[in-house]
Amino acid sequence: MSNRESLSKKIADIFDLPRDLVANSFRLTVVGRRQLFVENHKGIILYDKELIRLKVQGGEVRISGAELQVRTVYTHEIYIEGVIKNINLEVLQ
Amino acid sequence: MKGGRQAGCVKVRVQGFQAEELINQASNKSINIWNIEKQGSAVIFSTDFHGLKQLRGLEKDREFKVEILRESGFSVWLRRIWRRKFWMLGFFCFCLAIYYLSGLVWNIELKGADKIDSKELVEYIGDFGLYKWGKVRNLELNDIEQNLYLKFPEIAWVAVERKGTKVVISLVEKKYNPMQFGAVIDIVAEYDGIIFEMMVLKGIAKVKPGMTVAKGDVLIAGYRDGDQVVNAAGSVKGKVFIEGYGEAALVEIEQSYTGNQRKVDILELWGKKITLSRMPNYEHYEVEELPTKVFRDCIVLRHRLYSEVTRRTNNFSPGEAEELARFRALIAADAQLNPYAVITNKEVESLSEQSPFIYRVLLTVETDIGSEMVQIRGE
Repeated sequence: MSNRESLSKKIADIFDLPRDLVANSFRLTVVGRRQLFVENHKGIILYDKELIRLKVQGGEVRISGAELQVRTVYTHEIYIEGVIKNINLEVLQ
Repeated sequence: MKGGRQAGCVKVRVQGFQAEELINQASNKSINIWNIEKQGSAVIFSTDFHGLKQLRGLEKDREFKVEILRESGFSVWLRRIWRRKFWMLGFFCFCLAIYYLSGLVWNIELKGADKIDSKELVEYIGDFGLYKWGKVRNLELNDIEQNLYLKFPEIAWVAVERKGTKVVISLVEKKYNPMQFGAVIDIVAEYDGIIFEMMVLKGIAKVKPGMTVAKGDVLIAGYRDGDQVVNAAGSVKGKVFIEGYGEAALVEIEQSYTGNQRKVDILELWGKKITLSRMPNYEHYEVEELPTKVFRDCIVLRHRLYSEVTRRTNNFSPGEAEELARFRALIAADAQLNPYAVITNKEVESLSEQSPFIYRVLLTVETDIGSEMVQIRGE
């Protein structure tokens, strides 16, 4: 954990604030097996029908499945649809 | 973002840009894109006009090709309309025609005119600008009402209302009160009967006890004495025979309203009927029909009021049916009596021995048979 992240964590604990808000952490929202909403991502690494790789703070998120499609892209928000089979979170050391 | 989509959005194909790079660029530059599809080396996606403008900006820096596949939205629609000048002109003329036609009197409906000459009234209101195909917006309806009161003293109440392109004149005529005009009052027989007692207070007696009179005969006559009017006054008692008939069958169908009603509009175009509203699915119903002519006899709008009824079958034994017929005959006879009549004799006679059973009731009553009536015979 970087110094900045640990500082953010401490601030969030002191003021009793949600950590994702203070530390600008990413957030994944999965609706059933077909919808995924990713907030605070840092960019898309790979976009394919079977695999989507997203760069997030401190690592990457791999979404594998079938007929995957990026439905909407807003600033720092991405909405993915398709048959989601696996969501993998990889932490970069 | 939503406002941008409503204003208009485009579906574009971008050649020479990796999908990942495009999404990252869009995310960084706050370009809203959606429905992103990879198609070989090209990327197809939708964006709003603001996003398209930003993409065009990127086009200068990078070498890629933006091809518009489809445009949609309000601004696109407006642009298309603007290109069709004649369509616009036609639409404008149509709106203008609707506005102009809605400002004319299409129809004048007169309600309640019985003794008043409708033609004269319609001609009179024409002087105030209220005539068919005249302008409806400048009409002073209150002034017309006030002038109608002055012109036609027979009017007790009048209301001139505008209902869209129709003007409805509803009026109530004054009821003729003979006393106000000095008419003479007679006392005439209300029933057929034999007079047995008579007292004349005013007027001339036209009959005397023992005489048989028919309904409508003058019993005591009023008269004029110069300018003086002498109205008949007095009491005439007579023996009256009143008949009542009653009928009852062994099986009777009783019908009653459920209170459910539905109005159905039917448009009749040159004899061909088109139902404008759904027909009710009542099992039994009664129909009241009110035709409204729209254009001569060619176009007729009919309003039909369907009232739902329930039908109940009543079965009676012969004894019950006979009793019911007798009772109905008594009620029929009794309904003809005034409340002060004294029944002196009652005869009940059966006219039919089998269903339907018919009974006749003959009442002999002593009652006041005279009633006041305006003299209609000559002076």
